[in-house]
Amino acid sequence: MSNAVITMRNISKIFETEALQTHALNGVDLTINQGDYVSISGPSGSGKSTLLSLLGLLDFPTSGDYFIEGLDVTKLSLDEAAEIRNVKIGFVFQSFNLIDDLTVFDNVALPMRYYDKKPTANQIKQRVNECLAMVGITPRVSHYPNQLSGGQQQRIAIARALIAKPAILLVDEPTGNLDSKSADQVMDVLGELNHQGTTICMVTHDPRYADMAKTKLCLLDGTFLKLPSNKEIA
Amino acid sequence: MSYQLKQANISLNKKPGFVALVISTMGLTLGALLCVLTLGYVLLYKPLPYPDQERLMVVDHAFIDQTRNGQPGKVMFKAFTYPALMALQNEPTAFLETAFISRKQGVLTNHSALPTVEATYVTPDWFTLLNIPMKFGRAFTPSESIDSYNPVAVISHKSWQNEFAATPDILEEKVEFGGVSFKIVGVTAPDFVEPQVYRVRRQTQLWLPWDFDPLNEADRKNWGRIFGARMVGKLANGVTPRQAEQVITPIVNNQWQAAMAGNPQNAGRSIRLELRSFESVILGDSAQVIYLLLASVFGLIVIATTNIANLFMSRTAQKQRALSIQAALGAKKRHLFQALLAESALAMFYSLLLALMVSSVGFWLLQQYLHTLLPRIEEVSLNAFTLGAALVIGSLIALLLARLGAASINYKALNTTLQSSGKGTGVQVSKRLRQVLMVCQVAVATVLIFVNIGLFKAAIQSINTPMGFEAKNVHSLTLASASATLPPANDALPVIEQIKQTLTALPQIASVSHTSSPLDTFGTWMPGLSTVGGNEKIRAEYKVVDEQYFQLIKQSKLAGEFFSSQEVRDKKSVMIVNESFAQLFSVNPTKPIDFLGKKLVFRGDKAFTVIGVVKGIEVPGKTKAMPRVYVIKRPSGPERTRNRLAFTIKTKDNQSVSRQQLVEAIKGVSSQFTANQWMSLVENRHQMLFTQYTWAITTAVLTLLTIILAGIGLYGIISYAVQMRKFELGTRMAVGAKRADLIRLIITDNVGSMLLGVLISVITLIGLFAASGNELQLNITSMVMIFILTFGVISLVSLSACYLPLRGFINRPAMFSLRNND
Ligand SMILES: Nc1ncnc2c1ncn2[C@@H]1O[C@H](COP(=O)(O)OP(=O)(O)O)[C@@H](O)[C@H]1O
Ligand SMILES: [Mg+2]
Repeated sequence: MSNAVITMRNISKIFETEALQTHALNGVDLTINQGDYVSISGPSGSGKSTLLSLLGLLDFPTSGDYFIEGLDVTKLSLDEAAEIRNVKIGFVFQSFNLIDDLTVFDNVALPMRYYDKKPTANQIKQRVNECLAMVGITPRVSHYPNQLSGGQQQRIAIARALIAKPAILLVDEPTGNLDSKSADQVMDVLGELNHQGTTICMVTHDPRYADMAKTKLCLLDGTFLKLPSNKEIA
Repeated sequence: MSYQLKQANISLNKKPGFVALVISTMGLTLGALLCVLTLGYVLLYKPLPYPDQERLMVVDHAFIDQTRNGQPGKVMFKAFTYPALMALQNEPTAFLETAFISRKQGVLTNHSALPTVEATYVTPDWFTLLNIPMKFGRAFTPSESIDSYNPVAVISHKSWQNEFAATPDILEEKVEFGGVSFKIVGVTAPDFVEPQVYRVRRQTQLWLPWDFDPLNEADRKNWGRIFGARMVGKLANGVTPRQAEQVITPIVNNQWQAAMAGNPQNAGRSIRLELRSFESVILGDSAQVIYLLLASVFGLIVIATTNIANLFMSRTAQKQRALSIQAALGAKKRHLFQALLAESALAMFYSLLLALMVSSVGFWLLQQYLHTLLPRIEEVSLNAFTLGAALVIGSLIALLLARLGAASINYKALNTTLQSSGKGTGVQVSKRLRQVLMVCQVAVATVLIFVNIGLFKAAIQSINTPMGFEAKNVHSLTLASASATLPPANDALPVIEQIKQTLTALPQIASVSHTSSPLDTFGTWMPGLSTVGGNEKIRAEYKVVDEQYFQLIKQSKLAGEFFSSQEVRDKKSVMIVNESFAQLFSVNPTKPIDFLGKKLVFRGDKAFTVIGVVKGIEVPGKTKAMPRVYVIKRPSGPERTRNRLAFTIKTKDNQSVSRQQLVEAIKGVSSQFTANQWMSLVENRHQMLFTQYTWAITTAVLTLLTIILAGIGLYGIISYAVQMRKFELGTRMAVGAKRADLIRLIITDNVGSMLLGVLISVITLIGLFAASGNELQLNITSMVMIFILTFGVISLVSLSACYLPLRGFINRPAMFSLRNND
């Protein structure tokens, strides 16, 4: 328990629209330990993205308890949640979500602009270059995202997610918008990052990529199916 | 095109909210524009409704002092003399036709209600010059020409309805006015628009032959000034006003010089006749009002158009998919433009319909409430000119909207929109265009708000200026004579004194002063006052008062004494001066020391001893307290009954007296006089401040409208921009941006445009002030204060416009902004 990064207990999420209630998650329990590489798969609409958004504090559960590194994050204010996202969570989206008007450098540096303690220009430069190196993109820092290929963009998005040395990297279908060659590159980057100690939780429905994770989970209708983990097999 | 219109109609019907916003915004502002434009057209452009109106002139009779130090040729005052009028009567070369008019307010003494009426004494040419239409009977004819003394009268249509209950037998009736009985020979037609030569709200109820003007009676034989008389004339064919002046000036000046020969007082003086067009006399200084209103509504139109342009462009952007499909099916750029034009034209058409309704309401309001402020209001109605103008403006705006909409379509990108499933970029309001709109809005709004707050402040200042006396329970009363000529002062004054006693004895009345109202005009004292031996003449206004006056109105005393009953009875040559008069003599008003007791000399022989200093009174709507003196008797010449017909009366708390009661009380004393006008000073003050009240309301409304419109507009523009950046905002939130960070982001993004707008407005305002010479009469401090206030308002509006659209995103979990909700 001491090295649990993520602890979720009995988490539910209900979406209410005018006509109907959608139970996107039904009493999910999840623990992710330091250094783990978790993949979550499941059919479309099973609640993967919803779970990831709750994990990333992009949204709040309807009920249940959620701890990040032992800190209760269930009842945070919007700004408190923003602060945790800023320093403890790295998020990688399926559609990259890079900001068109910012250069590669500024996109990667973006989270640092929201630090409580403003870093110096030098610190930013150093850290951005480190992270870009980690994902294998060094030049092109003054390019704009739309001048780059999808694979490059996704790796830049990963660099951005890494910038604050987060406790966990949350990755939502990182290869969904990529050709298979770029996808392989991105998955290699993620594998390497985990190898170096980064905790990762990734949503994917590509079984090939799910198999790269240490722990494989499968969601169906908002609850986990119990699967043996790779570790257990090993 | 009809197909396009049909499509446009269908498309608009689907978006009732959008349509309602467009129509209400454009309808209201265009309605206001129509109103002001019509007003401007009538006042500044439309010919007066009289034959050959461009040749109608008012003649001014000016006394010129050639010797005045430093300012030779200065006009001393303007007023006709009776002999001058007679000399010009049948002048053959300058004028085709001339008429004399004079005015008087009085009582219809044979009427059971004893109503007070406005009478105008005219020569018969007045009716032919203006071609006055008649409802019944006849106008004045040569049978009423000068010296015919034919006692007949014409009444106005309104008077016929109000005072005579619209009786069909009106031509059988007589009116008694000023002691003469006149047979009614005509009623003017209801559509007659009287030229308001004297002042805007004056409407003649009774026209009487020139011969019966009692004011002229006393002055017929000498060259004394008669202030109420006017001469109007129609220029002879081909004669310019300047030529006419050169013809008629010597006629009068020569006679006057001959008559004044040997009178040293008039040495170096002469008469000059000056012509002003009827139009300029009647317009007065209303042109300024019109220009200001025009500028304001044009500003509002600019703001409103900008708002709507933004709405149209955003809407075009929303129709991305539909446009893409049309493009894919072969619609050319031109077709898309036509579709947009059909929509904007239709929307503007509906807006114009609303504008027409709004302007009709506006005309009604103008006629109800502004007829006392602006001339010719009764002529204001929809006409071809304003309709045409509205159509042109509406079409231009429709065209502009369609153009801007089309400009935001990236036709090449449209075709790719359908293929790519992601966020389309085929149609977008470009950042540059949004910035231009924003700069435009802020600049126009800042100028409008600044100017309107400036005017509002000036009006409120006038309204709030304390008068320096207490008007509560105080009233003014003037007496009217029942006979044609006023009795001489010697006979009249004892009777008037008796009336005063009787009024004082009325149970409702606290005290009576035989003095005209403090709000009445003061006399002018020429050539001025000086200390004994001093040669600097100080001009002052004067008022003849009695011992009750200062206490009755509670005007405060700064030093010395008020007049005693003894001094008033003995008609002592004593004088009380006001603060600003004392200051002209470099005297401290509260410690005048040896100024009290000093003799001030008027025309060499007459000297008045200063016995007191009072605080000045401020006449509502006038800017500054004049130097004034108070005396017990007129400074020169004999007492005249007509100067002594006014009282200032204080009633007891919670008591009131009607004019009818006063009429009865006075009847008991004498049949010679009756109550003419009875008015509370509080009421009088409100009337005098009418212009200021109107300005305060108008400018407040304009300021509010500007703020609302600019607020909606800025909100719309920024809201669109924020919508476009939804994903970006979500992403920033995902990586840790707090709410304040995002608010800062949007503000930083827009602050440049807003400051640029403010800068442009400052330059515009400086230009305006340079061009118009500080019409607002503001000093630097108040300008800075008003600017700070304006800037504060604009900043607040802009900041709200930044925050409000963000609210929906930053107060929700980040996921909301990241979700693709198509
Ligand atoms: N904002 C929302 N409002 C309503 N229903 C939602 C919302 N987001 C997701 N859902 C519903 O919740 C369920 C889970 O969705 P999601 O987590 O996106 O599934 P997955 O990512 O596995 O495809 C689906 O039925 C989806 O329609
Ligand atoms: Mg999903």
